[in-house]
Amino acid sequence: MLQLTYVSKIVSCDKDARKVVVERRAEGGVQLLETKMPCLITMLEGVNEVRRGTIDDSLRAARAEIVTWSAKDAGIAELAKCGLKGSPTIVKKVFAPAPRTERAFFIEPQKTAGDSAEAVIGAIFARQSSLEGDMAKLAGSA
Amino acid sequence: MSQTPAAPPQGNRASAKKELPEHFRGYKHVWVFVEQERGEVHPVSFELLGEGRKLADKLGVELAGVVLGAPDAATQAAVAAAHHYGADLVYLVEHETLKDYRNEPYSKALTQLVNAHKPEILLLGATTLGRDLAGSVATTLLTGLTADCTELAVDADGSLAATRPTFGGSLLCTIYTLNYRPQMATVRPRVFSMPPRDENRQGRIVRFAPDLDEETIITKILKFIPDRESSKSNLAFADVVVAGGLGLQSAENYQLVRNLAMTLGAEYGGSRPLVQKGWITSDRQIGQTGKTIRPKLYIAAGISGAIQHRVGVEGADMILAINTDKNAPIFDFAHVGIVTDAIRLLPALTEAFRKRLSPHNRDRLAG
Amino acid sequence: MIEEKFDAIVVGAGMAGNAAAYTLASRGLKVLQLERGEYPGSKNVQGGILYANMLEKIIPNFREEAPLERHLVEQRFWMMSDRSHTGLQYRSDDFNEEKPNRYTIIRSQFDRWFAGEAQAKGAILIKETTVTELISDAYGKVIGVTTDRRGGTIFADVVVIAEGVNALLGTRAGLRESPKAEQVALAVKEMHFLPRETIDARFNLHGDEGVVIEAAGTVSNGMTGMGFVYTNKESVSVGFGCLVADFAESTATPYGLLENFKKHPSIAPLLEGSEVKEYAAHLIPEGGYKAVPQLFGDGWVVVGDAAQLNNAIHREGSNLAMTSGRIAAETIFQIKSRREKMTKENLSAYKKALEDSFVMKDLKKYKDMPALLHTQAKNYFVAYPTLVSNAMENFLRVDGTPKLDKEKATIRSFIKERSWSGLFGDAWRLARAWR
Repeated sequence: MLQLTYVSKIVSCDKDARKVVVERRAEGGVQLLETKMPCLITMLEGVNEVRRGTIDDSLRAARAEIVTWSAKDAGIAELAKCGLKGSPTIVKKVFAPAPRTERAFFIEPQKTAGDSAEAVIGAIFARQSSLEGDMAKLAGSA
Repeated sequence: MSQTPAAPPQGNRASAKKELPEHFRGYKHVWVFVEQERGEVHPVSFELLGEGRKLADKLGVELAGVVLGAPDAATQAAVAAAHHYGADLVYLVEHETLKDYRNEPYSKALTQLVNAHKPEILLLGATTLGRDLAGSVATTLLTGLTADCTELAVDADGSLAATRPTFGGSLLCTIYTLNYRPQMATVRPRVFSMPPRDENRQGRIVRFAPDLDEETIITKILKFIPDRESSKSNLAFADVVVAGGLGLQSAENYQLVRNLAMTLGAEYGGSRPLVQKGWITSDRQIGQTGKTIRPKLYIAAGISGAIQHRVGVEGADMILAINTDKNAPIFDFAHVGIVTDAIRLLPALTEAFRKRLSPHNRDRLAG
Repeated sequence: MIEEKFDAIVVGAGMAGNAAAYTLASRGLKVLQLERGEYPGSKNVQGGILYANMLEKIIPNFREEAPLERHLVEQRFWMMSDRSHTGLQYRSDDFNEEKPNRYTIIRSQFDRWFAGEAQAKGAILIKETTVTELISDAYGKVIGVTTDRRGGTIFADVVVIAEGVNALLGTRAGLRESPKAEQVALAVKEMHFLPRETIDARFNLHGDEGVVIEAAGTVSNGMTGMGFVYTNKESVSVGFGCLVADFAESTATPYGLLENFKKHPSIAPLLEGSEVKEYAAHLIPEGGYKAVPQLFGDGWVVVGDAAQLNNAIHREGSNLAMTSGRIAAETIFQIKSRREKMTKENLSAYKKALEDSFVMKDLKKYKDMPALLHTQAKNYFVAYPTLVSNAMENFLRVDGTPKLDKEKATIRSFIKERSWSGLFGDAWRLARAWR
C-alpha cells in the first residue's frame, strides 16, 4: 500500500486519473509529491479546520446506510493475526518513572526579586563550575 | 511515584517467554539507519550509533550503519561518518531512485537488505523520514516496532527492551519484540547524547544492489520547497534554553522569557499548552510531542513539569525551575528550584545575568 | 436550500418530542426531528420517574426493551426541620404487579432508546443541530425552520415545538413571552453510585424494587423548594430545586441547598460511602395552568415543558410531556388524513384534546397552588415543618410531663406562631388551591 505521511496539504485529487498531489512536511522543507490511488495518507494536526456540516450534509448522513463488514466480508482469513493477539510486540512492564534520589535544592525567595535572582545564579554556578564561563562566552557572542 | 509496576498488562501476554522460531535464530548484529537528506546526515543517526555501540558490545556482536542514497559524494560522506561514529561496518545501498526520500524505494531497498543480511536489531531516528520508513518496513517484514523510545537496553537473554511513554505520557512502558526479527525501534533526536567522533576510525563496507526500477515507482517528487532559515529555532543543540509555561499567565508575559534568552544568547521555547494558545510556534515546543533538548542550562519558568515535558528535558545538565506551587512535579527532577512568581523573577534574572556575564566580568573569568 | 419538504418537523428529542415523532412516524408521516444535544437525552435531566400508563399508550410493550431502573413500591413524603423529619410513607406489594406503574429511569439512556424507537418507525433524527428560527410565509403561517447549520430553510407542513423549558425558539418567534422567574425552578442533582446490595439493604428492597423520597422543609431556608431521593439499580439520585425567583432574592445557591440536603441527618446515612459520578442541573416549569402559553397557531403547535405542561405538585412532567406530544401528533395526523391544511383553526383540536385529557384537567385543578406556595413559602417551608417537628418530638419524648400539659403546649405553639385566623386561613387556602 502506498503511503504518504506528515501531509500538510492535499493540493489536488484527480478521481478519474486516480492521482493525488500533496505537500509533505519533511526535515527542513516541504516535499511536493504526486502518487496514485489507492494510498494511505496521514495528515498533520492543525492543518485544517473542522467544518460543521450543512443541513443537507446532516440529512444525508442521517439517512446513510452504514455498510458493516464481518471479518469474512473483509477477507480476513486469520483473526489471530489481528489486533493485540496478532502483534509482534509485547508490553511487559508499565510503570511510573523513578523519582530522582534528591529533589531540587530550594532557594528561599528573598525580599527583593533582585536578591532572589542573585541567590539563584549563585546556586547554579556553585553546582556547575564550568557553566559560568560557557554562559559568558555565549552571552558575549549574542 | 516509585517504580512500582502496575498489574501485568495484557493479561497473559506480559509473561510470554522468548521462543524464537528457527528461521530467526540466525539473525545477528545491531544496525542503525544513517539518515541522510540533501547532503546532510541527521545527527540522530550518530546518537543512535553511540547507543547502538553499547547494545552491540553487550550482545557481543557488530554494529553496522545502513546508508541508502544516490551514488554521490554525500552518500560517501555519510558512510565515512558512520565509521567515525563507531560503526564496524556500513551496508551501502546506492541507486538513483534513492536520491531523495520517497517511502516506496527506501522501504523496498531496506526490506531487501534486511532479508539478505538479517540483523537482530534495527534502529532508526524518530524523524519524519525515520518514522515514515520504519513503519512501512516493519509492516512489510511483519515484525515488531517500538516507536519514540526514551531508553534501550538488552536483557540477559539478548532481547531488546525498549522503553517509551504510554497512557498519554503519564507512565512509561517497556516493550519487547520477543519472537520476531529484526527487533525495530525508533528514537527521537537528543534522547541519547552525541558520542565522540573518531576521524581516524575506519571500517568495512558491504555493498548491496537493490532490485529497484524508477519505472515501477509510483510516487514522484515534483518539487522541494525549503523552509526560510530566519525563523528556525535551534533548540535541539542549544547550550542554554529558557522556557515558559502556563504559569506566565499571558502571551505578553512570555516576552520576559524571550528577553532573558536574548540576554543569555540562549534559545527559547515553551510547553505544549503555549503552542495551543498560540503564544509560541510549534517548532519551539519542548517535550514529548515537541523537541527533546540537552542543554547545559535549562530554565523552566511557570512550567508544572508533567511527565510529557519531563521526558523532553531530562538530559539537561542543570535545570532551574521557577514555580509558585511548591508541589509542582518539576521540582522532582530540577536541580535548583525557587518557589516564587516567574513574572517577577525573570526580569530580575535577566538583569542579574547581564551584570554577571558582562565583558568586565568575562575578562575577570578568562584571566 | 433543501428541496424536499417534510410533513412535520419536531424540534427536540426529549419526552414530548420523541412521543410526537414516534406517533407521527408510526402513522406513516414524513418526520424530521432536530435535537441540539450530542444525542437525545444529553441535555435532559430528571430525577426521574417514568409513568408507565402514558408510555403504554404510545409504545404498549415498552417494558421489553426500554432501559428501566427500578419499579417503585414505596413512596415517602417528608416534612423536614433542621435535624428531623416527619413523614408519610406508603408501601404496597400491589406495586409488584406484572406491569408496574412507575419506574425510575436515567434520561440519558432512556431518551436515546425512545428516540431510537421513533427512528425505527421512520423518523429522521439530526443531532447537534439547534433550530434558530421559525420561518413564516407572507401570511404569517409557519412553513419551516432554519438551524445553526448552513443550508437554509427546511420546509414542513407543521412544526411541533418540543424545545423544552427555556422556550428560546418560541420566545424569539414572538409566539409567547419568555418564562418568568417565578414560573421556573432550578434543580441540581447528583448521581451517587453504591453497590446494588447496599441500596437493597438500606431501602429494604428486593429484586428491582425501588423507593422514592420527596422532602421539603427548613432545608430550603424559607424558599419554595423540594428535594428528592430516587433509587436506581446501582445508584441513588439525590437532588434539590427551588424557584428561580427565590434564588434571585437570596444568597443561597442551588448547590449549597443540595449540600445542606445531603448533610441532613435523615439523608446522609442513605448516601454513606457512595461515589458521586455525575452532576446535573436543569430548569423545571413551575407556573402551572396560569403559565401555559398559546399552544397552537398557523403551522405550529407547542408541547411538553415548552408549553409549561408540568404538574409540579405531583412532580409529573414527563408523562404530561409525552401525552401532549402524542395528542399533538394524532391531531396532525387527523388533519392530514382529511387532506386539510395545518391552520390555526384545525390545530385548535390539539388544545381541545389536551383539555379533555388528564393533562389540562390536572393542571387546572392545581392552578392556584404555585402562587400559594410562593407567597406562603415561609409558612409551608419553615413555620409548619418546625411546628410539626416540635409537636412530634413533644409527643414522643417521655419525660414525666403529663400528656395533657404537653398537648396544650403544642397547641399553644401553633397558635402563637400562626394565630387562630392564620391557621384557619392556611387550611382554607390550601383546601381551595388543592381542589
